[in-house]
Amino acid sequence: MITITTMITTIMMKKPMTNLPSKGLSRQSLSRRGLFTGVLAGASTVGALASASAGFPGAKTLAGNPIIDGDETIPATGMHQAGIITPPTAHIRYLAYSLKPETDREALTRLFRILTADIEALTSGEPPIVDTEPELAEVPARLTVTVGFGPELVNRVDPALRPEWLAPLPAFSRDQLGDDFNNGDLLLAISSDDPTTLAHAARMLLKSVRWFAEPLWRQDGFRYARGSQPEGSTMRNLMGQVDGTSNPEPGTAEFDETVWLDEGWLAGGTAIVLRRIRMELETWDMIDRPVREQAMGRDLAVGAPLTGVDEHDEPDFEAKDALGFNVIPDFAHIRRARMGDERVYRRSVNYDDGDEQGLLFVCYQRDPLKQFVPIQQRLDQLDLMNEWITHVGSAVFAIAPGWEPGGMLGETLLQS
Amino acid sequence: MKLNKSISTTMPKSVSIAGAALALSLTLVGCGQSATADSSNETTQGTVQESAELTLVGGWTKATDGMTGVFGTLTNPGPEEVTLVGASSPIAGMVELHETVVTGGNMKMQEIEGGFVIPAGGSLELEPGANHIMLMDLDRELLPGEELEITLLFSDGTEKELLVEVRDFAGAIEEYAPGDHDHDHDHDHHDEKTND
Repeated sequence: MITITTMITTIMMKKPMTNLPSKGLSRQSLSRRGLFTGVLAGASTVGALASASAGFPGAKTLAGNPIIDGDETIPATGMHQAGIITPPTAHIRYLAYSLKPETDREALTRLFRILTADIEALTSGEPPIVDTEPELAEVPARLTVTVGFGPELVNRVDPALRPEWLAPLPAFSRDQLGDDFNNGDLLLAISSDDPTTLAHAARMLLKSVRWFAEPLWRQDGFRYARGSQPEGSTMRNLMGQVDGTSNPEPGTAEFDETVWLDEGWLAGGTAIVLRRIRMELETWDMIDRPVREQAMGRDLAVGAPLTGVDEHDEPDFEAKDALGFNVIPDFAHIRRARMGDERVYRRSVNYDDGDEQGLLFVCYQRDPLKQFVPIQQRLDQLDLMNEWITHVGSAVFAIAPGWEPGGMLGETLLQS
Repeated sequence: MKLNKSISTTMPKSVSIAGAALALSLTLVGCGQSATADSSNETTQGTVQESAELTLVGGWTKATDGMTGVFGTLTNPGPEEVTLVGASSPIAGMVELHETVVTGGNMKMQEIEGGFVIPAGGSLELEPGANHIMLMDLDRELLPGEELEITLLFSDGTEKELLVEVRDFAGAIEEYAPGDHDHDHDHDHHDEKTND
């Protein structure tokens, strides 16, 4: 069923030809509402459209409570996959799969063809071709599906195409990795503002993938609900810290050099590191606010560095207090993290499994061995926050480049 | 169960976004946006044209061996009623056009007499649990994600060759009317694979 609202969504989809971020997303929302009026006013000139839509239940939403943003879409196609620099949504599910032994290059070609069709349909608010619950596909709510390839998947195509960094990360001394949340051959990161939409997309994609691969692990993450915070706000983690400040800005040269690969089959792609970081909240509860702020090097109220007043103030690592000590202590998280030149693009989310809360630390970079690893090595050696956090899961995937309309996920890998 | 909902009888739904694409062009004309037909039409045009043919839009078939059904939306943009009278596929020894009838609480498939009538300027849905094209005596297993060639034969004498997507699908398990072959149409082996 095509309602007026989904048609308007289609117009939104049309504007950015790629899924490159647009700060205009909120502006698009405004213009979408403008289009509502425009479409209604112009109804006589679109007779076919008007008559086609008049009999649909969707028309009722115009008279009743309007949909606020359930119909908003983020295009799946473009130079980069969606879900990396597109606006973060309230919910995300990371699903890792293990390829079955018989899933060879030929089978992967079929899998990528299916995933491409399913992802393009789901993210545009349309049911995939074999969707047995098509009504559940009608609320995209900024659904994106980002696909990552593990080392084994690339090996099945051609081991020579596997970058050196596409492997389990080197062990860090404080890691307590269990068996449940590590590695994988295929990653689907399904992201939406609506958990119903997300559940349906995950189920639909599982049905498409299960001939080729078996589920390995699943991690659900969340941020504030859509509309709870101004769009673009840095999120807070479950320790109450503003988490993700000082990130490279998409669209800048620094971002491109930090995140996007530019040669070979991965040109336009990137690398994702996903670390499951358990928060030791029982002991964190014993720590009073001043020490919490010292441990991070930022205040808790707005996330400002201890040497500044606003979140985005540059930390002054040279500043001394009256006794001559560093204002941002030697053991502070942000000092340790930023002692080198390495940059990564962070996009973490919270998790809450009932008995356990923590952070799904997610970062994107060209080369985890040269970017994430040195940073984590410094934190592993010294970071007061280590008292209250434990890394319990670790995975690295290559994020394939995007594909243009008519193209296919993974086409550059298969053609290499 | 209705798998695909038509936009209207005259506007059949395409694979995924073709319907929206068609609506898009109408809407853009209607509200006089300056951001009109631009480069993104390179994708939308193809699907719009496709849905204006005597053909099967969004065609797909269930991955299995032995026999399988073909589904999708038969479309007829012309001014005359047309009937799909037959179909063929290089890998199928026999092809029939089937309807599904519910008798005594059981769903049974049987060959339809006279073929599938597609109204002028309209469409007809082929879907699991309803009308479908039955491919039998497959000479090999159909695998998810491949594309299967089929040929449609219409009452006006035209033939339409096209590719349909092969998909892993748990449904479309139907009993045959008595007297037919042994049509054990139950879960295929890849389900066993996935459940191990």
